Parts: sequence; structure tokens; C-alpha cells
Amino acid sequence: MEEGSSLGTCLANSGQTRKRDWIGIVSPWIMSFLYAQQAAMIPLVQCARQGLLCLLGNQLDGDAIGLRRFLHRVGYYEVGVPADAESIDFSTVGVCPDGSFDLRASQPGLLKSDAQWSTLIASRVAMTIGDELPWRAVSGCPRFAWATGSVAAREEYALLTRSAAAAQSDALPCTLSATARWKEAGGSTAGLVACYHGPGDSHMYAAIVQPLGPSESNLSLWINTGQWDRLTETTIAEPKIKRDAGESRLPFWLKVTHDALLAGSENDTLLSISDERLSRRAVAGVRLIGDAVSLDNVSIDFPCAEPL
Amino acid sequence: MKKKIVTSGVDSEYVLGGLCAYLRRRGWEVIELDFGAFREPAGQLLDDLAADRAIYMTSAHTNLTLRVAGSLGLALASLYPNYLAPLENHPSAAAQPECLYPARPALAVWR
Repeated sequence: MEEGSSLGTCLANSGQTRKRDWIGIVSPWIMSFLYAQQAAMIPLVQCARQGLLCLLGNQLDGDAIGLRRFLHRVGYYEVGVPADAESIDFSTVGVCPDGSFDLRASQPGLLKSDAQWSTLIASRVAMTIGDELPWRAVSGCPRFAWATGSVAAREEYALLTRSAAAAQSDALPCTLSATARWKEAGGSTAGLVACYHGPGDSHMYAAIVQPLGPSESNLSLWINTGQWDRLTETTIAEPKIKRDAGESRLPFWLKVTHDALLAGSENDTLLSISDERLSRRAVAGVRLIGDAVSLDNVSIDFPCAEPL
Repeated sequence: MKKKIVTSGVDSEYVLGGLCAYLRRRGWEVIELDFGAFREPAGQLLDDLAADRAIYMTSAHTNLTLRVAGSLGLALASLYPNYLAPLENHPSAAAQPECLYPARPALAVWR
């Protein structure tokens, strides 16, 4: 391809003007070229009737958000990662003119692939419908590492929520658990969120871990009713906090009952307080500030409202 | 076999009823999906149409899906929980629709 020419012009010159359902790009050089020159992408979008299949080298994986925004901006409705032959995961939909998008996934965050190659599918029509993918990024777009199962904010603040399935609707008690990991305190926090009502970063309960050092951390319970109020807190040290290869680890959990909030680590309840101000709702999630703390093995247990 | 036309829209934004009545009189088989009146999940109906050659017309916002509406804070999901936007009617898209007729802007896009 000559410098300054567009891929669409090349397709036209080679007689490939008939519209195709899908076009696959398997060359990382062509993908980088298109990414760098947005105008060159437009004729390709017009040629591909339904979408693009992009096989990406890992040099573009580092800018996964930018690449998705680029694909939405040039006209693709949904961008996802193929989970298997028939389903899509880590799906984004371009929503606003400012380039923000809606992220839904089976896991909390945007997939970070450690593979040498990764695949994206960009489609002009919807590939996922409704609540097929339970996790939703309310704000921010943290990175989920599939290999370790950990989620970490890449921006200053991120909030992801997960709703219960219909059979689990608003059942209680709801129990959330995760393991916080950090190397340096750094002012970051990681939390579990329950009874999320929104909008945005408002109206929820949260159990927040804030590392104070390698062997010390603050654990606190919060409520947001339009503003954040700390309900109760405690300081946790070793042996609850485990140290391994320069990394600190704190397993913790949050439980919401009809009239109280409880938080703790492993089998010990460390915080307990009565609070009924927020109506119980089966929407829970994680809230991350800064990138110094990550969460592993996030688990949300909504009990079934009806006997199975 | 009768030629098939599938139309979609929602409540006051569904403006194709008169056209559908006319097309029926002209011998077309017309399936109207006004999601303000059609409250059932339409997925199976659209799947059944996937094998047919059909024309799809809509007066709905092309990319205003429930997912997009939720991100924008619109209450579409609570009002019309089974709503499918034109971009979600892809089983009929697989039937190679020949016409997309968005209400806003009032342009017909022919393939």
C-alpha cells in the first residue's frame, strides 16, 4: 500500500467493492495504519456490511480503551472479545460524543490479555442484548487480568456493579468478598459496594480497604446518601494481612442483612453496625481509587429469593 | 409465498401503521413490532424470520438500545422492558433487509 493511499481506495482499485458481511484484519501493520489515520478507516467501514474482525498484535493491547473508542467513533456500535464460537465478552457500546462508552463483561473490568495476540470484533449491529453480561462499568474502566483474576483501576476512580439474576432479586443477606493486594500504600483504596442505587458515585454502602503500610490497613464501612459518611472503622495488621514477595494481601468481606452491615476478614467479624437508610437492593460491585491496590477473586453471593 | 415486511418502533415514535395497512391491501405480509403495544419478547419471532427474505422498516432511533438508554439515564428499560432497537433486530438483518427507513432524519437508506 502506498503512503497516503487509503485502504478503501486500494479495495476499489483491486475490484473489491462489493459489500462484505465481515472483513478481517490480520496484519498488525494495517491495524496500526488504520488506527493512526482515521480517514483511511471510513471506506473500510462502508465496505464491511456488518463488521470487522481484528486480530491484534499486543502492541495495541496497551491502548485497549483508545482502540475501542476509535472503532466506535468510526461507526461501530459494539466492540467485544470473542468468548467462544457464539458469544461475546468484554463488550463496549459507543454512547456519547465525548467518546465515553458502556462496558459490560462477565468479569469486573476490561480484559487485559497476556497473550501475544488478541482478537476484537467490531460490529455495526448489536452482538449482545440485555443483561447477558452481568458486570457494568458505572464509571471508569479498570483493567481485569484474566491470568490472575485481579481488577485494578487504571484511572483515578472506577466503580463497577453487578446485578442479581431475576431469581435472586433483592434477596438477603447479600455477601461480597475479595482479596485486596498492594505493594505500597500510595493513597489508593479498594472497596466492595452493596445496595447500589446511583446515579453515578452515589447512594450505596461500601466496605473500604485503605492500606496504611506493608503490614497495616484501615477497614471501614461507609454510606453514601448524596455524600459519603463513615459509619465505623478499624485497623487491621498481621496476621490478617499476609506478606509475600514484597506484596501485602488482605482477604475481606461485606455482608448486608435486613437491618445491619457487617464487615470482616476470613472468619472474623471486625465491623458491625445497624443501618436501614438505604433500601435493600441486589446490585453490588467494586469501587477502586488509584492503581496501587487491586482486588482478586471478587465474589458476590446473592441468595436465591425462591427455593430452587 | 407472500413478501414479508417487518416494521418496528415504540409508541408515539411508531408512525408506520398507516403505511402497513396500505401494504397489506397491496398483498404484502406485514409484521408490526410497536413495542408500546407488543409486550412479549420478540427474539423468537425475529429468529423465525431469519431464514426469510424480508424488508425491514423502522421509525425508531437506530442505535437507541436499552443499553444505550441506560447509560444515558433514560427510562426506556422500565417502560418497555422487551424493546429491541433496530440495531438489535439482527436476526432479521441476517435476512438481508433491503430498506432501512429511519424517522429521524427523514431519509431512506437503500442498499
